[in-house]
Amino acid sequence: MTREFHRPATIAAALTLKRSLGGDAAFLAGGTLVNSRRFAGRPGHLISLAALDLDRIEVRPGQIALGATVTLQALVDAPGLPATLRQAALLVGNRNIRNQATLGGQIGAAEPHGALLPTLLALEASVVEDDGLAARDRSLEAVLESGLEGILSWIHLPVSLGSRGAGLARYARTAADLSLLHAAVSLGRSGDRVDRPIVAFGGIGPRATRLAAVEEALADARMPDPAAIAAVVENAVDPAFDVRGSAQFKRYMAGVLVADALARAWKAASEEAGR
Amino acid sequence: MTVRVRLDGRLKDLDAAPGDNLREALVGAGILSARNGCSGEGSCGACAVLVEGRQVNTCLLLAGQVEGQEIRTVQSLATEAPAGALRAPRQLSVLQAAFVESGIVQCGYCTPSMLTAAQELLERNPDPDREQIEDALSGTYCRCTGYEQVFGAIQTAARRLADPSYAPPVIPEFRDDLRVVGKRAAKVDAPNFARGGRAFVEDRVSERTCHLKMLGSPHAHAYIKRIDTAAAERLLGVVAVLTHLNTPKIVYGSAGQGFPEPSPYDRRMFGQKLRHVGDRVAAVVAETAEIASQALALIDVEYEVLAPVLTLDDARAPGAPIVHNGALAFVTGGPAELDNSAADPRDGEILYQFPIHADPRRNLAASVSGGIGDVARGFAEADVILEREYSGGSVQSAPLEPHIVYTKMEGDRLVIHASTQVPWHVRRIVARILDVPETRIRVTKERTGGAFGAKQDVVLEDVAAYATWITGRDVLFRYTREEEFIASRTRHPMTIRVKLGARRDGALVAIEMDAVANTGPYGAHCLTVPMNACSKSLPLFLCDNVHFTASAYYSNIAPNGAYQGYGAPQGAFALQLAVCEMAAELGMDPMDLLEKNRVREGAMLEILKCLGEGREGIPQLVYSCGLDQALDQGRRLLDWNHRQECDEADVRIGKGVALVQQGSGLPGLDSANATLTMNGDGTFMLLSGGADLGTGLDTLTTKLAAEVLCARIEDIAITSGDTDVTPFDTGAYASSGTFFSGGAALNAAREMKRKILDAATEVLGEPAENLELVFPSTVRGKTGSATYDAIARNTQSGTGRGQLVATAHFIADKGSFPYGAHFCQVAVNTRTGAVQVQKYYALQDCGTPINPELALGQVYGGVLKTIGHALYEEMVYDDAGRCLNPNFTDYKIPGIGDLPDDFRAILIETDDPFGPFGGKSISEIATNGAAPAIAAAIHDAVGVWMRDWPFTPEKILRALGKLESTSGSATRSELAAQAIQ
Ligand SMILES: Cc1cc2nc3c(=O)[nH]c(=O)nc-3n(C[C@H](O)[C@H](O)[C@H](O)COP(=O)(O)OP(=O)(O)OC[C@H]3O[C@@H](n4cnc5c(N)ncnc54)[C@H](O)[C@@H]3O)c2cc1C
Ligand code: FES
Ligand code: FES
Repeated sequence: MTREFHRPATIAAALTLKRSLGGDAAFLAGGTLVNSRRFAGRPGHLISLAALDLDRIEVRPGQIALGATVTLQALVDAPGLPATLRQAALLVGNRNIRNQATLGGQIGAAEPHGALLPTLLALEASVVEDDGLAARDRSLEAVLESGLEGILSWIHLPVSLGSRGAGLARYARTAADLSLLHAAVSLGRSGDRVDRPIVAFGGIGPRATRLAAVEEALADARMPDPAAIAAVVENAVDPAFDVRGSAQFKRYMAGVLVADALARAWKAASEEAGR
Repeated sequence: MTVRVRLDGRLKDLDAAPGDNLREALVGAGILSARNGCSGEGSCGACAVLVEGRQVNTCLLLAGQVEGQEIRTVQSLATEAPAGALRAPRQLSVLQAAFVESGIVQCGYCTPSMLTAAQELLERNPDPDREQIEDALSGTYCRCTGYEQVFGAIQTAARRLADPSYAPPVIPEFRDDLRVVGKRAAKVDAPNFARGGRAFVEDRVSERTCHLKMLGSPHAHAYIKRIDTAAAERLLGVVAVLTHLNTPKIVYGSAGQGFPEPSPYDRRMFGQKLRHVGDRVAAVVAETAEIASQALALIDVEYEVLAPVLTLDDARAPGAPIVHNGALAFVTGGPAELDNSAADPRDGEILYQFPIHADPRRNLAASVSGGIGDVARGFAEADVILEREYSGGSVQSAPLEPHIVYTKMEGDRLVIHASTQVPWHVRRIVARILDVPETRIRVTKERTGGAFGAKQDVVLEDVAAYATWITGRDVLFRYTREEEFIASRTRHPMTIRVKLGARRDGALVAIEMDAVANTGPYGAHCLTVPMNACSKSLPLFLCDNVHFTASAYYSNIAPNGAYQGYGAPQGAFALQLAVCEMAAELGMDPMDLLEKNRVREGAMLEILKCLGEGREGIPQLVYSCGLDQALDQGRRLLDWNHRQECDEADVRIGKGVALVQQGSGLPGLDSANATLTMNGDGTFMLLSGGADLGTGLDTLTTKLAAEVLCARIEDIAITSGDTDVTPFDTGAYASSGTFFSGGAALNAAREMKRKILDAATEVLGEPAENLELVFPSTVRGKTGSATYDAIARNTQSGTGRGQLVATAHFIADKGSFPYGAHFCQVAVNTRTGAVQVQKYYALQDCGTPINPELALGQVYGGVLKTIGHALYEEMVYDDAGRCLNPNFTDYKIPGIGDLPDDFRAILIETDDPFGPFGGKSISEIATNGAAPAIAAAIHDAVGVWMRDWPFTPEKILRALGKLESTSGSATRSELAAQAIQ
């Protein structure tokens, strides 16, 4: 049972509160997870991040900075963000949720499904985590792996993909469904070879991750045909059954989706290169 | 704590505990329009309002999060009057009015949230296109309407806001000879829904009402060995704890069917035997919902767990666990000697009103067979014989408002505010269980937030009524979304074997159909649903040799019962797809095969003599059938003979068609009544027994009366479905509304007309034959005329003949069959298994469409639900009988983004001699076509026959050989079982 609702004005105050309340408190961003029935063990104290002035998007030299409490709908509406990021935010297919859920909350929730986290991985996002003493830059991958201890304040993206291209592909049952399986790929093109591919996948395993084996197979290689890359992916993933599909189906779809996302990224990179 | 907000334009302090969500705080502040459709999962959008101009789900927001913010609910919408101008308080905004007139308001449960979503959209985009509307409403579920008409509603509002003289696009209207029948008219209850007014059971609940919560069985099949409720009873605020030990032992059936019912009485309020996960173990009545939940946790139960029966194969296996091993008894027609020696008293009893060919010891709940001609001879004459099996899994009807009831005492009478389709059956069944005369009970049907058949049963009313009866307290019992999934009523999974014999030229010479249903733990509707699978599909084909069997088996999955279509969707899937398969065998175009064999006007349906819902049937003549026009128009619209190619390498396109039919109520079984009274100013009260489920029945009956009485629709106020106030009606099921409840209103109006003319002879001094009714509300004679107002004053004066009151009833011995043809075009991706419905055209013959825009809404809604069933909806069970996806995150229902790209409902007018002004039923029939039409189109696209719904990408990939096929026809439940082990 929530007994108290706090709304600190600074990150330092929020962290002090959290430290003093310990495990009986949680940070509250949009609240679409924290306030839902799905959130385990209703904490006694909720510390709202709404007054921390983090709902800003800043396009800085060389970098896009996204405030942690920016809503997903704001990502959709903001000009000047990478098209794939907007696309991924839109794939959180329900406007009511996008109006409320925040980017920081997505990362804090670190759910296995969904479009945004694999997309942010593919776009080489890094995050700023503030533990009250210092703000440190961390890779998104590391944060997803080990979780957040402090407050995530900013998410950084390279300002443009340069000559790189990115592509997404997903499996969902209905238009407003979660991306149950989601592939996001970014790469450069040098001649007919793939340059520094990043292949991220969500929906298999406990969190969105990069598929190192697939990246390795692609690095400096010629664009493989879809069946070949699908075979590499199928070997690289180890899905489990759940009510959303059998392991066999998910393995197969992972291959198909990575191949599709790869083809889209290659096309985008080729268009970049042609400019 | 207090949260200060600006609520609908005024500063307001919301009273809330720190953990209260905004929905709760708004309800506390008297705002009822933020509804609850998913129990705080955040997935349905019914609770959404505008916070700082953005549509958000209030069940996911803590009240504390909105401190200082602006909240607008649907109540704030009508603010377009010029600044400072006084607005008529009940006037609708342009947007609300556009919703009301477009037909997009059905049950009204989602209407406030749809409206605020649309309002948000129009504020940021004054001229939205289809895609932008889709995006704006992507978070709002509606289970009734199929969404299609909302595009027109929002675009009409947008244009009218720019130009108040803008007229909405015309919709087809019918019957030039009539004034209101066949014409667009506002649904009579829609303005109230659009304003977010009181309408539903939850809106009636008084303060200090007790909450009833149910302890559901954790096991699919078990006995209660021991139950200890002492700790729960001691908890402060607990009013009563109910178990099998302290509640009535009377056996009953929950099916709201005409008495004597063709369903077994096989349950008690609480049994010692538990037959599904979620079955009733104990109920707590407490002063708050929280106390009730705490008390449930204090109940200590020891179970003897039994092996569950989940599938039809489990149920029929030799030596299968017996779901009902109680003693059997018959009211009439039972065997001379009944051997109950092996019965287990812990199983209760089963009482049959008459034999339904059951054998519960083999888990057989009911069976029937019959036929015409000689199928053996027919098959011997056939050139081609095809035998196939078709099946469909468990789907949920998912009304946005879960089951709910509110009971209270008024004096020494029990009042039940119910969300029901069958107020009189509720009263009869509850009276039986409480062992009191019906006169002690009043059932008031409130507006239902979607019913779809699930509310044809007594699911909650008995236990809430009993709790009130013994405690004297007001009691509210409302299912959570999870309970709605696992313990309400829904579609029977069915396996249907079809065997067809045809001659080379395509003539069908023999049809055999064997429908086997999984009724789940209890036998409500267990005979009639599988029977309907046959009776609503076989008569579509004129074949001399037909045989059918229909049976149902008990199991331990969630309870099944009535759901829109009532077995017909399963039957249509099997028979229509089998006919398509036969066409492929014969190398014929399926449309040619349908043409050659289908029913037509003037045909005599002999098969109906053996399909009489538990009694003798009669052959029936087809007096009206719009299939000629429907097939012709559909073929042209879809460009049937043109093979469509796709630019995408992996995508193949295919087309499919299916014929559909339903009935219009149950002739010989159903009965409806209505009363009209004239008010002192010549306006009318219409008291109809009919139960409007959001379908527009009240609008229909009002229009029929307005037509006959030459009165304005607004001059007739309707009250319906209240056992104290309105006359009897069997209820809203079996597509009976238009025909029966409409027929009764029409007859009452005709009787009122006769009385008005009679009374006018005195006022005008002219003989009745010189008089006629003319619009508006006037009697015209040869020499003068009198308004109804004058007539009312005359009849109700101290020297008058008394208030004009007309009561009439309607029964029928003949049926009227609505028909339709559903066409679709799908794109199948052979790499991903995804099926995209590109075009769906539902051409429906409903006789005279009395409410055309509402009729279209019924079709869109019925079709979209069943597109969901055909493609992705399925309740999945593990091997212990637990449903793995009892929520809207894991069980997807279609949202606005899931509509076919080109979605059209088209009304085909025919003139039926029996229905009111030629009207036939419209709603259920629309659910029958999607599965067979889509399966046929998938085959046309990629050459595989999908014989088991839903046609998920995974199953399509297996059928295409892209994934290994699992052994035989592995169901998802088997897959589930494997994975969980
Ligand atoms: C009906 C529904 C549909 C959904 N559909 C999708 C979908 O299609 N795709 C998808 O990807 N997701 C979907 N989601 C998930 C949703 O996007 C996440 O719940 C959301 O992103 C969480 O954001 P929030 O701001 O609401 O987080 P909150 O619920 O406020 O917080 C989530 C977690 O993150 C922590 N946290 C939040 N912000 C910070 C911060 N700045 N620093 C440190 N910790 C923080 C919180 O303590 C909490 O543990 C859906 C959710 C619902 C309810
Ligand atoms: S009740 Fe809030 S989203 Fe369903
Ligand atoms: S009208 Fe939308 S849920 Fe009923």
